[in-house]
Parts: sequence; C-alpha cells; structure tokens
Amino acid sequence: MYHQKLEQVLENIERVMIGKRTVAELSIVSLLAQGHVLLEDVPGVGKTMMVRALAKSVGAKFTRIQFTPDLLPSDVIGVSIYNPKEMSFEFRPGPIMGNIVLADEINRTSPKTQSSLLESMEEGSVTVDGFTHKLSKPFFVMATQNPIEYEGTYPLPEAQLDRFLLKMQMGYPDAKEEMEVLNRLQYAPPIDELQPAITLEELQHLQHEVKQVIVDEKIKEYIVDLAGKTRDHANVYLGVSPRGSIALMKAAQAYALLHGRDYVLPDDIQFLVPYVFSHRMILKSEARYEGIEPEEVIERILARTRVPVQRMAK
Amino acid sequence: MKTEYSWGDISTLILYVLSFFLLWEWLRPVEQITETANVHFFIIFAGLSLLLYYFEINWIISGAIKTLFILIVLQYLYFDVPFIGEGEWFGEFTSLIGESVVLTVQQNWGGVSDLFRSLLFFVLLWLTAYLMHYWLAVRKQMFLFYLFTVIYITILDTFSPYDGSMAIVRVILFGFLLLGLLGLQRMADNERIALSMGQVQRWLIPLALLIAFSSAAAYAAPKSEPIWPDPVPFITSFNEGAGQGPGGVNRLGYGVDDSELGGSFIGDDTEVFEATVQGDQYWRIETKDTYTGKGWEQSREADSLTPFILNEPTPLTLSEINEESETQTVSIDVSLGYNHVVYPYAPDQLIQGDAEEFRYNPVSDKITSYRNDELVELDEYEWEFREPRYSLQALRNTTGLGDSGTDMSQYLQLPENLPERIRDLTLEITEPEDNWYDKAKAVEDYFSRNDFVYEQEDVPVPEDDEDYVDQFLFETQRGYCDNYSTSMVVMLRSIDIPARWVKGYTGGEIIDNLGDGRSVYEVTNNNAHSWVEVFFPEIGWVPFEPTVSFSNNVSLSYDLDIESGETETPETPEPAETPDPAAPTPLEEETGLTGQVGDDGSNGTGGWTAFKTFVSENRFTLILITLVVAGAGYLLYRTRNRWMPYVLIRYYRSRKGSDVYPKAYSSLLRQLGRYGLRRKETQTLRSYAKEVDNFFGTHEMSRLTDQYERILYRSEAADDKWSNMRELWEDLIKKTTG
Repeated sequence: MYHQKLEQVLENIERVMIGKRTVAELSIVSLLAQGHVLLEDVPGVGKTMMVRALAKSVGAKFTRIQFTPDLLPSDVIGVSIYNPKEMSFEFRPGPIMGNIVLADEINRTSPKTQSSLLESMEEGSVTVDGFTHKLSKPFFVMATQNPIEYEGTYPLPEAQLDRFLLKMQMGYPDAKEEMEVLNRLQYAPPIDELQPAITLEELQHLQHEVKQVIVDEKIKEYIVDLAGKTRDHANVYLGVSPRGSIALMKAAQAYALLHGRDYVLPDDIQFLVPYVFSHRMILKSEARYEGIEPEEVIERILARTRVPVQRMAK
Repeated sequence: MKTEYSWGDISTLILYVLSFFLLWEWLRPVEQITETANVHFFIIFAGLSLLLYYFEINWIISGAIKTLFILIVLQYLYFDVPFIGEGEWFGEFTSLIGESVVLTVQQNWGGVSDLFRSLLFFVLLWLTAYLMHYWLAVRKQMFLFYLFTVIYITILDTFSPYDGSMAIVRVILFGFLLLGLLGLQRMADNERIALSMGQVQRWLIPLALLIAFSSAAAYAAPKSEPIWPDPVPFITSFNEGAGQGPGGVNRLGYGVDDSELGGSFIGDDTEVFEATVQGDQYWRIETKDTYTGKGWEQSREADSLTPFILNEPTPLTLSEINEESETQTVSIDVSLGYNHVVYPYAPDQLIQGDAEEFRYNPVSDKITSYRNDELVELDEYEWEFREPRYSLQALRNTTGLGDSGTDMSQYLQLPENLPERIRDLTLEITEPEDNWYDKAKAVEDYFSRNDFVYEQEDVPVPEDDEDYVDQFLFETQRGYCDNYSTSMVVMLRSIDIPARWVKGYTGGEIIDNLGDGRSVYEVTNNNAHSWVEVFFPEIGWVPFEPTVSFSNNVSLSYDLDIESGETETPETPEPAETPDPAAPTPLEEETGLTGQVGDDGSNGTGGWTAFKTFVSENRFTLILITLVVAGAGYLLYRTRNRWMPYVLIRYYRSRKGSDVYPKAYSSLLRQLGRYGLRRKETQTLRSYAKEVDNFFGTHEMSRLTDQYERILYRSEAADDKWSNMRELWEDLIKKTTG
C-alpha cells in the first residue's frame, strides 16, 4: 500500500523532472532513511525543481537557503528577538525549520555557517540562547554544491561530508529528454499542478517501517566486506568508516522498501554503494593525479567481491 | 548460377575425402588378419558410397549404382561367365544367397558361402558410409567415429600381428584435420555465416601447421617402451611351443639348445605348469657340464637311461637328504606339454603320473616319461620329496675334494682359450675366503655388489673371438640368468671348485592359496631360469643363485656354535622353518614392480597376492575393460549437458522438504553454468537471472530467483516453494539440454 504511494511520489517527480528517475529514487531513499543528500552539479539542471517536486508530493513544508559568503548562522537557524509588548525574547525560526530544506550552493558560505547547518542536521535540533528547539519532522536536507566554481568557495571538509547519506549528480538530460522539458514548460511549469501523494504522517510511518526491513546476515557481511575493501585498497588514503557501513545498510533498507520488498538484496547494495561510499573515501594523491575517481575504485571493488548466494552452513 | 565452388563446398569435399581415409584405415588390416582377399574392391566401394553421398545423389539412383557395383564385383569374383550375355550366373547367385540366408538362420556360420559374406561386408560398408555421411552432413560431429578408429587400430596392433605404427600416424593426421575442419563448419553453421576463403585459410593454415608440427614432433620424439609385454607371442606360443633357436632373439622359455647363449629375450606369459606345493622352490629339469666359450653342451651321451616307475625311489640323489626334513608332496598340472618331468630338489618318488615308465639320464639329470617305449607328454604328475637342508658347518669345512675319490673332471672342464683374467678376477674375489662355500658365496655376491644389471633386451651375442663369460664380466655387465649362472660356474671352475649349470624354472607366482598351507604357483615361460650347483664332497650338489634380484631359498642348518672365530653371519638364507615364497620372477622385473629380493609382498598378506595374481592373469581383459569404461565415462562426461537435466529432474521430482528448493536451484545454476551461462561470482542472482531470461526469452529464471532470494535473504521457509516452482524449474532445466 505504502509502496504504491511511494510509486506515486516517484511519478510526481518524474512529471516535473524528465529522465531523472535514479535521482528521484535516491532522494526518496534518503528521505525514508532519514538521511540527507548532497547534490553535486552545475547550475540549471533542475536541482531546485527536484526538491520542490519532492516536497510538494509529500505535502511537506519546503524552505530554501541560498548560501552566500556573508550568510550568518543565525540566518540559517533563526534568531531571538526582543518583543517589547510581551517584555520577552521571542524565537524567530530560520529557514532550517522546514520539512524539506534546500541548502543551495552550500560550499559558498563560511565554514561557521556550514557547520551550523550540518550540526543541526546531525542533532535534529537547534539551540538558541539556551533554548533547544526541535526541528520539524520529517526533516530532510538536500544540499547542492557547484563543482565548477572554486573561486571564493569553502569546500566541505571530509568529516562534514560524512553527514550526508548520499551524494549524487544530476547530469544533463539527453537531447530527447531536453526537448520534452521544453515542451512541458512552454506554457506553465507542471510543478504548480502537483498534488501530494502521501501525507507527512504516512511518510513518518514509512520512515519507521524502513527499520523493519530485513537485512540478512549475509547481506551485512557483504556490506562489511565492501567497506573493508575500501580501507585496504591501494588507491585509497582513507576508506569508508563504520558510519558509512551503517549508512549503506539504512539506505539499502529504504531502497528495498521503495521497491516493495521487506528484505534487502545484494542488488540493492550494489546499486547504492557508489552513492553512499564515494564521498566518504579519500583517494591517495597519486591516484587523483592519475584521474581515478572514487566511483571507479568502488566499481573495481564490486567486481572482485563475491556476492553471497549460498545459504550459510548451520 | 554459381560459376565456382564456394569454400564451404570445397571444405565439405575435403571432409568426405578425409573420412574416406579414416574408413580405409578400417579396411587395411582386414586383408592381413582375416583371409579376405581383394580388399581393394571394398575400398573402392567405400569411396564410391561416400562420393555419392557427397554429391547428394537421389537415394534411388545412388542405391541402384551401389547395387550394380556390388553385383558386378561379386560376379567378377565368384563367377567365370561374363556379366551380360549367356550364362545363368544370376540364378546361381540368388540360390547361393538364399542358401546362405537359411544357414545363417540355423547359425551354421561355417557353411555360409564366401559370396554371401562378401555381400554382407558390402552391406556393412554401405551402412557405415551412410553413418559417416550422417555424422558429417547432419550432426557435424565425428569424434565418436574417430575415437573408435583409434581404439580399433590400437587393439589390432596389440592383439594381432597387424602393425599399426604407420596407421596410427595416418589416423592422427587425417583425423585431427577432419575434426578441425568439422569444428569450423559446425561453428559457421551455428553462427549462420557463409565461410569465406579468408576465414577458411585463417582456420586451416594454423590447423594444418599445428597438426603437422605436433605429429612430426610426436613421430620424432623418443617413445617409452610398452609397459605390458607384447601379447602376440603369448597368443602364438600356444600353437608353436616356445624357446627355440640359438642366438639372435630368443623367446623366453625352456629350450634344449644352449650351445650359443646371448641375445635378447622376449617376455612370454604362457603358463607352463601349475604347482601345488607348500613353499616356493626351484624346479629342476637338467644340467649341462661342458662350457664351450659360447654356451653349454653335454660332454657325452648317456650310455643308458635308468628306468624307474611310480612309487619307486628316484634314482637321483643330489645331496645327502637330511632326515629331519618332512616329506612333502607337489602336484604339477601341466599346461604346456613337454616329455620331460620337472622335479624339486631331493625328490623321493613319483607318486602319480600317467606314464608306464620314467627314465633318468645320469649325465644330464633329465627325467623323461615313456609309454610303450615312446616319449609321452604328461598332463599331470605328483612328486613326493623332502626339502634339502645343508649343514653350514659341513659346507664350510670343505676346502677341497679330499679323498672322496669322485671323478669331478667333467665339472672342472673349461675351454682351452678361456681368458686368463676370469681366473684372476675370481682369485681376487675369493682371496679372503678359505673354504669352498664362502668362496662360492663370494662369487655369488660379486654380481650384486658390483652393479651388474638384470636385462633381457639388447644383450649381445659374443663375437667369434669373444668368450661369453668374459664379455659379460668385463664389458657388458648386464644380462639375464644365463649370463650370471654361466659366469659363476666358469669362475668357480677356474679356481678348481666343481660346479655345473642347471636349467629349470623358478617358483612362479602364487595364484591361489589352499587352506592346508599349500599354494598354487603358476609357472610361465617367464620363469624359465638357469642357476648354479656346486659340488661339496660331503654333501653333494648345492644350488647357488648368482642372478641379481633372484633368490633361491636354500635351507641351511646353523650349526655354527663351535666356530667362535667366525663372526660373519651368512647373508642370503632365511631360517629354515619358514619357507619364504618371495622370489621375484623375471616377469616382475620386466614390469618394473620391484627389484629387491623378497619385496613383492607375496610373503605378506595372501589377499594382495591373490589380487596381484588376478591382475596379472586378467590384465588384457582389465585393460580392455578400463579402456571401455574410460571411453564410456568420457562420453558420458562430454554429453552430461544432455542427460544431466533429466537425471536432476527425476532426482528432485519426488523429493520434499525445506532444503529441496535451494538445492534444486543450485543444481540449476550449475547446469546453466555447464550450458555456457555461467554466473560470475560477483554477479547478483537477480542480474544473472535477467541474463538467463534474456537468453531463453522467458521470465522463468527471474521468478525462480525471486523465490530463492526470499529464502536466502528473507529467511522464508522453503517448504511449499518447491511444489509451486517445480514445473517452472523443470521447464527451464530442460531448455538447457537443447
């Protein structure tokens, strides 16, 4: 039942975003697993549209933070203002107090502001003037990062990247898809017509369901095997942390649920590994000079890791 | 219209020509091993049949042509009248055939006419040609036929006089070329491509080079000798007897003429007799006393033979018989008839034997059997004898002939021109010893201490001016029993110890163990042997065994206590009470089983001996069975794709339980792997299932996989899954047989 609703969410997004099913799926996976997404791509490929479509489909409150070098942490999390009428400080929530937050061009703001966002992402709450304010639930951040502009940017430190469940690229649509985009947007952007396919309560219920998805011992072993191999790989300076393994398991559970299964398959793992692991690995500088990408390393690791297909001896 | 043949046609023609050559190889031996003449007609017929099949002539026309050919050939061979015209040959022909058919039905094979046999042979060839055409044109697989051709040639080469050494080279050349080309055609067929000239060349040139190179290398390379003795002498010796001819190549076995020793021996398994007796012993036939420098002769003819009959003491005493020895009996069951009687050392009397009289030759020690004054061959006879036992002390006390007065000059004879160095060597060997026994022992041991080699092949015959013993001792140092025994006799004589040369058989191999402590020994021509006897005045003739790797069990009494100065213990003999049946026979030498005395296991467990006996008795059957089983096993293995699924289906059909489905699924995976759709270990089941389904154009594998995944990754119970999925599974696994 929920599975069908999720399908509907996907369909909704696809009506807006042509040919971006993988990105849409991954976003929902991240939303279900209560993780956050880092989108790395050039401007104009539809990152904002994607998030808005997702927010609309789940009937969530959508906020957007455009990160600029002069943005302050209080601009993100909110500020207490003195109310002369009530003779007290009153908390004015910042844009982080939404369900689905688009943190646009996160690498253009100062590390101080970046970390205010990332810490609240991690903790699920913000503390202002000694008062702790819970963030709304569900809470989902989609941060974008422009890989081209390096001038005046503050690249996210590796430790911070670890806080994102998934990292992905949008990529350009192909010619046919781009034609379709033009056709659809000629008169009115279809995003305005989108109706929620699932309520926030249902979404929260699903987030709970995700944890019930069965992950067999063999699958866990497979995950650990893969993570271990990233640590031993000759091209890798820093491999995937146990937090990465946990992230992979959670993402796989969400992915399985999205596909209407209550058990995880090795296929799920194989599909998700690049998105979960690539930003958690630091390659050696020699490898980087050679132009090797983390995704390539992961592909090689997958190509020499046995898939568990036999029942374990009891 | 095509103006030239495509390469496909030409390669097909080549295929037919090559298969004709293979068929020809089947016909070649026919002329030699059967009494078939005019084989060329059959060869022409085989070629004609294949040619007709190649041109794909309508079966009516080609059938008519072949029938006509058969008729013309049969008429030409069996009738004198012209084919067309007067002469009622056809009527006679049909009546002969009809007669033969009747005889065939009556299973009176001998009466069937040659005409009918030839006709049947033609029909057989016709069928074979059709079969080859079927294999070539339809199945495009020829391996089976090729394999059988090779087996056919090898069997004929082994078991018949036909020499297949060139045939096998031809078969390899033609056969591999044929298989290679056929493989190309099969691939082209599977891929639906027309062969271009270039493709054929790319295939054909490396193929031809490869075959040419490997055949040339194989032809030129040294080949190991066959491990099994050639069975042809075995087969023919039943007709011809054994052991004739001086010099040159001899056949193993007992022979009469020993005047020219030397030359190679061919092994021969033919059984001579079976002895049922308690322990292993040497069987005597005769002795010779005169060494000529080339071989042995008798110094004189016996003046008269000493007759004796059954149950009468044998007029022959080789040595003083020790009264302690028990009387034993031995029954000899003769397979290869001779008119002489073999006997153990110290025979008491013959107690059974179908002869009126036996005669003992005092010069040669030979005993022959007579009936009505005619020499007669016995089928079986039985001896009562006592095992001789020699007192070591008495042996060692002998230092000369003493005053016994026996004339031993004939056993001290040596040729005039015996090289001096033989005597020098003997003196050197025996120098430390002071008595005859130890001197003889020293000479006996000399051969094994100095790396003399036992060999039956490439043993030279001495040149005119060479001495047989001298050549062996100083030049070749390798040979078989005759070399060793003759040398020892000559050496002993050179230092004035009387000795003679004895012929007979070694103990043979145990083939059966009777419960009463007796065993049945099989003595074959390979057991024919010669050894040495030394005369001790107090004791008599004592056997010695100089041939390396042989041992004769001479019982000695260890009555040595008084000789305290003697620290050396005798080396060879075993304690007297336990007769050691372990004497390696020449056969074992030859098969490389063992070279060590007493190490053939026969003194151990009887089971092993029985097994060995069984193996050596039935070795050709065993080889044949092994070949057939190996061939069948290989075929089964090669075709396992086709039959395995049905076995699996039957196996799993009736099975129930929670682990059936996973097992069946694993079997399916393996079967698909054999079929060529192998799953990579790093591939998930689901993506593999998609591949499989794409290949077969179904969704079966995905459905099966889905259920298997649930068991595997969701720990779902598998109990009812099998019954639901069985049909799907059977469907899919059957697809892999195609």
